[in-house]
Amino acid sequence: VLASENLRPLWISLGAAAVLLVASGVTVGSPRTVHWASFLLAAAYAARLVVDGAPLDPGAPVFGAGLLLFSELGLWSLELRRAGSQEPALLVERASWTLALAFAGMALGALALTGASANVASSVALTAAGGAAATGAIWLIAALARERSGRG
Amino acid sequence: MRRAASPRLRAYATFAAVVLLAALATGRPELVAIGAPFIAFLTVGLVVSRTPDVAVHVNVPRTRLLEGEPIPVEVTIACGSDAARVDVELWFPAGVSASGGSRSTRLRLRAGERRTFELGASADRWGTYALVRGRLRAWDPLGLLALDISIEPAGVVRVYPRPERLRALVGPRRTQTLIGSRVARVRGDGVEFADIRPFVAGDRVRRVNWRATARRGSLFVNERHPERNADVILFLDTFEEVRAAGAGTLDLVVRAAASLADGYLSCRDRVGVVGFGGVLHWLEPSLGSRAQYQIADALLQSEIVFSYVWKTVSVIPTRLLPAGCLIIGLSPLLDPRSVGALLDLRARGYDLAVLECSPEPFLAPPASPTEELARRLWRLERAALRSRFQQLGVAVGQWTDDEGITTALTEVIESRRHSRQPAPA
Repeated sequence: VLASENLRPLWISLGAAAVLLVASGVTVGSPRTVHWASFLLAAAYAARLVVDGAPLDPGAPVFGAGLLLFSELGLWSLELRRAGSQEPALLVERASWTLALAFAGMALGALALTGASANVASSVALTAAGGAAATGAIWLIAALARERSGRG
Repeated sequence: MRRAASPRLRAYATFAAVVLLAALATGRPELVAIGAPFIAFLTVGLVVSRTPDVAVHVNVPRTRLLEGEPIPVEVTIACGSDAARVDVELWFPAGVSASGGSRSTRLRLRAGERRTFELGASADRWGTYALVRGRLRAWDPLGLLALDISIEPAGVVRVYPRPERLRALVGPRRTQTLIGSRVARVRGDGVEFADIRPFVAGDRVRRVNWRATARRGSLFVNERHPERNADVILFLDTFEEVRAAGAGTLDLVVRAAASLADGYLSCRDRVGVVGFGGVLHWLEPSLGSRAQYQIADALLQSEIVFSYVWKTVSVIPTRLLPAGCLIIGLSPLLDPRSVGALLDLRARGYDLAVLECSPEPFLAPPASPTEELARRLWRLERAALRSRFQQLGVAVGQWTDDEGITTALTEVIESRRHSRQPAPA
């Protein structure tokens, strides 16, 4: 029996807490609460992975895409409530973008998992390379954001 | 103008950084997989993001309106080279509300598109309003970066109090020399028959009353009342008011003044305005449509200015109060300075009538028996004050917003029929 089976009530509680958080965020109109709910779900998933110590979970990309949709739909409902009137074309455009990016992210995640499952001996150099890649990805996003916002 | 990162950008970037570092720390590649959609969202969103070239212009076509009339607000947005998603939010000043409750709209503009739409608003209260402030926020396609453009006031809108059509007006005791619509007490050339008298040299033949002449055997002529105008001064008490739920006695005072000015000016009377309060303002008596606009503009400036200064009627320039004018005091009768000024005017022999704009509807109901008793005593004091005015020959009409001003005016007119005649000024 996996250790996580004994902790099932905890995972269910964390999931329920996330749903409650997002519901309260939508009710009171707080986007920050919606973000916290996503963080909580991701933390629960990560904790379950670590406690289990099971081999690779193939459902992780789907969970990631679901998490993005969860967050986007929560924020969208808040924006819809604030906006006085909105053109239908905007709804279609946004839905298309969100779905396309969720699928693209899922594919990217699956690619990352496939790469991770390759039988490569672990080493300090490889870990350092992974760290550098992660830092590079974050730096790239930050640089892009800084450049785009400074152009106005 | 600077583009700012949205909270979503910050939250997603933080999330991606945390899960990537957690993946490294725990050695679980699944965490990279759950962060991947967020990284894809941010990367694509920032790559496709362009600085929107958007301009906004707000126009208010009608700048002079009456209370309750819709204020059309035209918003024109022009998009330059790139398409943009824009949120337009307008903030109306206090006293102006958006029609339908919607003050914001979200649009998708194509490159080179220019779109004009109308947002309705209405003013609940008379006044001068700077319309309209707002903000235009242009988003990139994924809503990660936003460009804020502030919308400055498009102009000043003057909302005039809506005058009530009056069925009767308080008639002045004396008329002036200009031709008007009022039958003068004196005799002269006019339409209204006054009396007959024996013919004297110089009388015109057309004035001979042939029937009376035949009956009496000597020439008799008709005498008539000429039509003259009157001078009316609207004395606005702006020392103090009672307000509740966005309405107050000053609103009643101004609305009554607008209705009375409209009524008297349509009878070709000269109308002047004296705002007697913390700040004294006035408008000399004049007639015609120009005076109507001047009075309407002067009424918009009426406001309560708190002051400890003890003012009497001596601060009012004498040319504002012509001899024989009718002074109509519009007051909630709350401040002893304005009450004293009205009594002083009467003591100086002016023909005075008071329209009391009652503060009662704006008071909270008494919460305890003690407050109930205090309210009764206060009502008695006010009744005594009204009685004092009436003893001095000043008619007092009580006006609440629930009933038309005509009812209060009728009360004044009836009271003046039986009141003591004022000493000639």
